[in-house]
Amino acid sequence: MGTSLPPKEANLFKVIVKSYETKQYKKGLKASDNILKKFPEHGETLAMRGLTLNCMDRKAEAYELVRRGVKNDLKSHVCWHVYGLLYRSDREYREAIKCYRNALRIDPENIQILRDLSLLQAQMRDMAGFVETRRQLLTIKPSHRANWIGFAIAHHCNYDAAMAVQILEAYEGTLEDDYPPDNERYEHSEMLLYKVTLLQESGAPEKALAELNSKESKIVDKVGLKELRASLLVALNRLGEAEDVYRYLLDMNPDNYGYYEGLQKCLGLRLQGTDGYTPEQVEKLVELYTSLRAQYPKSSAAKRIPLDFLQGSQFVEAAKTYIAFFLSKGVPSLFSDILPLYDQRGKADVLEEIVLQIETSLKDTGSLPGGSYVEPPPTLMWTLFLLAQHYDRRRLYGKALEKIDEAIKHTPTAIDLYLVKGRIMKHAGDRVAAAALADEARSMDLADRFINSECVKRLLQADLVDLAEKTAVLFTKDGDQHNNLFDMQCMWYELASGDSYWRKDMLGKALKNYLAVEKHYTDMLEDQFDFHTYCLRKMTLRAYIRMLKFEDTLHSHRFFCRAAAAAIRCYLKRHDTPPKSSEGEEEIAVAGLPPNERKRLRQKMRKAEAKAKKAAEEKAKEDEALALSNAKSNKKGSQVTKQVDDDPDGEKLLQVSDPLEQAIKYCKLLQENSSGALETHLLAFDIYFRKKKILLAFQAVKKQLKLDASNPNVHRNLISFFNMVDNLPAAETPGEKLVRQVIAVERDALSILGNQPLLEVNRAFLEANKDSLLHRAAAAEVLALLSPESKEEAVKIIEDSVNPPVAEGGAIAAGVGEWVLKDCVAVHKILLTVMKDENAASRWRVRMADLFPYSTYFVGPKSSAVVEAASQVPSSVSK
Amino acid sequence: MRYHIPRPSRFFFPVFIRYRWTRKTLFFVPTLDLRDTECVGGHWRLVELKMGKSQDVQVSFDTVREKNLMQLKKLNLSIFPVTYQDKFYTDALSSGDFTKLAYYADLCVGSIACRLEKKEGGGGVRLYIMTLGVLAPYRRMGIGSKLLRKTLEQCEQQTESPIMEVYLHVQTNNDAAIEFYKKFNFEITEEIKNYYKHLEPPDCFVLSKTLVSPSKTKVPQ
Repeated sequence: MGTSLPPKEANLFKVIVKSYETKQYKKGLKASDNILKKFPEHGETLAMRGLTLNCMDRKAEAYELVRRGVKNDLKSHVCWHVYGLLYRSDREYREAIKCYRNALRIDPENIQILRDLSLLQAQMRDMAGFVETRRQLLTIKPSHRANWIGFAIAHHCNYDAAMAVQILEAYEGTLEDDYPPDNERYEHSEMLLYKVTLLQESGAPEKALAELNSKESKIVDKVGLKELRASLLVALNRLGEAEDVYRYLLDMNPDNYGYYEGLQKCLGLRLQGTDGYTPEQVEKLVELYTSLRAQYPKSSAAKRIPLDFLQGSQFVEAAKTYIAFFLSKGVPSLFSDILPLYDQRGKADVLEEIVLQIETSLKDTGSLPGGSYVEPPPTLMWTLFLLAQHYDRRRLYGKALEKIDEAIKHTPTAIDLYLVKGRIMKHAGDRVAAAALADEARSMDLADRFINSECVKRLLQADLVDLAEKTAVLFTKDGDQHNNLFDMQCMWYELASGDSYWRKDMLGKALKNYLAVEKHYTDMLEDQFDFHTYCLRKMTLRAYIRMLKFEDTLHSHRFFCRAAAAAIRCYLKRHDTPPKSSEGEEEIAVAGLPPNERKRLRQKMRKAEAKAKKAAEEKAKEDEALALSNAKSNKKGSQVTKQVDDDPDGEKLLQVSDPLEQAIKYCKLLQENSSGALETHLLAFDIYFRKKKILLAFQAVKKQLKLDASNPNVHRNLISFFNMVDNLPAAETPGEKLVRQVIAVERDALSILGNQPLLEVNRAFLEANKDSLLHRAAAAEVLALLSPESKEEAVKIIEDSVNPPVAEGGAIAAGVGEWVLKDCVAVHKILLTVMKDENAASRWRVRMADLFPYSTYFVGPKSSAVVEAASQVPSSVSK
Repeated sequence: MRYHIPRPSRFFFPVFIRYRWTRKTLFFVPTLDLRDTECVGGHWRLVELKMGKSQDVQVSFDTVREKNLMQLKKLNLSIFPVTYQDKFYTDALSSGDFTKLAYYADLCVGSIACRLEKKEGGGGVRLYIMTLGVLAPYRRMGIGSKLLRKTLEQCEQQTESPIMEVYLHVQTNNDAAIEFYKKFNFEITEEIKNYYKHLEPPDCFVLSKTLVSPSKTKVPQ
């Protein structure tokens, strides 16, 4: 490097490189100044100077200098490498790869550049290129362990596990017999385990097992070894041996559900299909778990698993002992432990009976049913606590509240009780009361972060955003709320607060929160970059491969889907209701006033504007002063200055010229990563329908039909799509004609339409689903769309719906209606916004207030909306 | 010897009353503020506990701080049918370690709230017990005794500005409470006539225990 310079300057150039590596940027700049004084156009120096400036946050200068450097010295690999590094620091990986390739053309054997290139290829999943680069690295420097491993990993990522195994074997061939030395035993062991998993993946379990056995002494992760061996033995159908291994593992950890599952597999007691176990299997399982319980009396897994497969009287007995044991022990999470059982037919009723028995027995005798000694007092409280959650799950909110109040009276200091009461209120539809209860729980232990977070969530659900922010701040660093929560990638908070703003119709703020979540996922994708080097160095290969696979499916994560869907909805709403420009607003306000009034008003506005401006300026000054004093107070601290959020309300995010284009961007991510979710295609339809992209909209409809043809939303989309097509003006261009033809052909092929007119299809749909509220609502909506004159009939379809009682034996208590609050609210909104029938809506509200007495939305008689209003009257009178 | 009885505070006069069920003697009774309220009889079911006093229950203690002050409030709200004023809680907080919460099976079930007072005429500090209470379902398990014993031990250990005396008020007919405190060597030092406006009898005793030479006084085990 720096070859074209005289010795003194060449030395100075080395200083620049060194000070860049050691982050002594000022020193580097000084040295570059000295070179540039004599050789102002020296390319490599210019480039290095740019790179140094880039690290000092002077991006624009950096790019200019580096570009000048490259221009002055096109033949220098240093310049190109620096250019690549610059792009990499800005995450422009594709550009960076191009630069590296140019650099390699000049200096094909430069290890540093090759290594940097391989990292980028792994990041961008350019696997073929990754293999090639790794091959070159290995050829140049075969003495390096990392090069061998990297080459193997590259092949593995390129779906060639067998090749990867060969490479690892070749590498092992270069090792001495007494390898590894003591300080590298872990790394070597991980390599061996990785090799075994590779063999397993390449479909050679026998070889894998042989390898595992021969290298056993060198593997230090003994648990991982046993687990791997057990799964290999199962794969080879050597069940007897596998059983031994699983029993050995259970001895080490008798609470690992995976081991129990494995053991069951070995004994031929695997769950097949969805029908559950056969009676013979159950018999054997009972035997197995009885002996396991005797063997591991302290294991709760051995007690819990049988509840899943036992039926009838056996289940009753087992559940009785299980529940009584944990109630007596005082385990607050007992309910969430047994919650999955509610989905099995009939078990909810049995559980209810058991807990009620315990309650009566405790109240009458003080001991558990059949118990010989008196239980300590908390047992009764935990029983009531369990009962309350039980009734909550069965949607008997009145009873649930009764029980939880009794528990609170018994021990008013138990914080969990208030949290659960809040949850019950939320399920019953009273979010305000839920928030108040969560806040009460919070006040009882101000040092508990979990309770604080739960409280924040409830406050957000009740749309008390300001209070929620203040509460969240209690647990963030220096009370710097937003940035801190953003830095911590606190996504539940961002989603909840976005939802809250969405309900308040503050689209900008909502969108800002949702996009923050999206940003986190992009960051996570970026974050893997560091691990490409780190994992190879530390040899945590199995974890590395797992991480790569995880990153590939990152965007299908629940939080991302929720955020992206919500962001799309924000853009859709913005498209449907474009904002009035502020000038227009002013004009409206001004119009209709006599001229002199108009003048006065204008003056007033101008004054107000000036005042606001002044205030903003003062605020900015204050902030600056604050930042300055902060910087002074921590001189040693990093040079990070507090970034001022220039768009706190997210208005800029909203003011895009085409919201639908933005929506498409996120929709594509959803289509790529969660194509199995119906919502993805519902949203895609909503976008393309508005964009008048007929074929894409139709594609979305087809996907929906494939996923769930009987879904009310799908029906609505299907009909409204063909309705739109029918009402299109005649096709003019050849392209349009072609589109129409395609649609016509597809329409004939759709069996669900059956060549019937749309009204007929809708009628058939209603007939087929006449017992379901949402289906009726969808049919009504479609009817109103197809023939606006029969709106009354549509409203009647909705109002004639009856709430059928749920079938007995399910999780919901017998006698409770099937309708859930969420759907009924949706129907109310349809009546109000689609049907535009206020009378019908208010009739519906009254009917629902009766059905959901705790709901604040329907102003139920027991909701806080009513209770508060009632309690406020006398107090104001007394004043 | 004449005792001067200081008015505890402008806002409340703690007294001991006995709840009106007589089958068993409660050795533990709550205090409540009766200046503005009528006596409200507490009523609860008595669970006959077989474990009795012999079986030692695990109780742990924690001092009252800002972060868990609400626990004390919840306890008072449940045990005493009176809403205490803020002054009560600031006194409790400033008494430091002398105001304690008792935990049974990780649940906060009882408390003792005290106030430190300068003894008149100089020389030493004395401790006034404002309230001592345990949630109804957790009584008769020795938690109250443990709270009091712990406090007395702590008084003895305090060497800097030593505590000379611990005292409290109790209604004259509250035999159970008097008995309870007598077990801890409290003595009736004075009777104040017409102390309560709304109670019958309206008189109270001052129960007091002198800790002159802390090392010699033994606390009953």
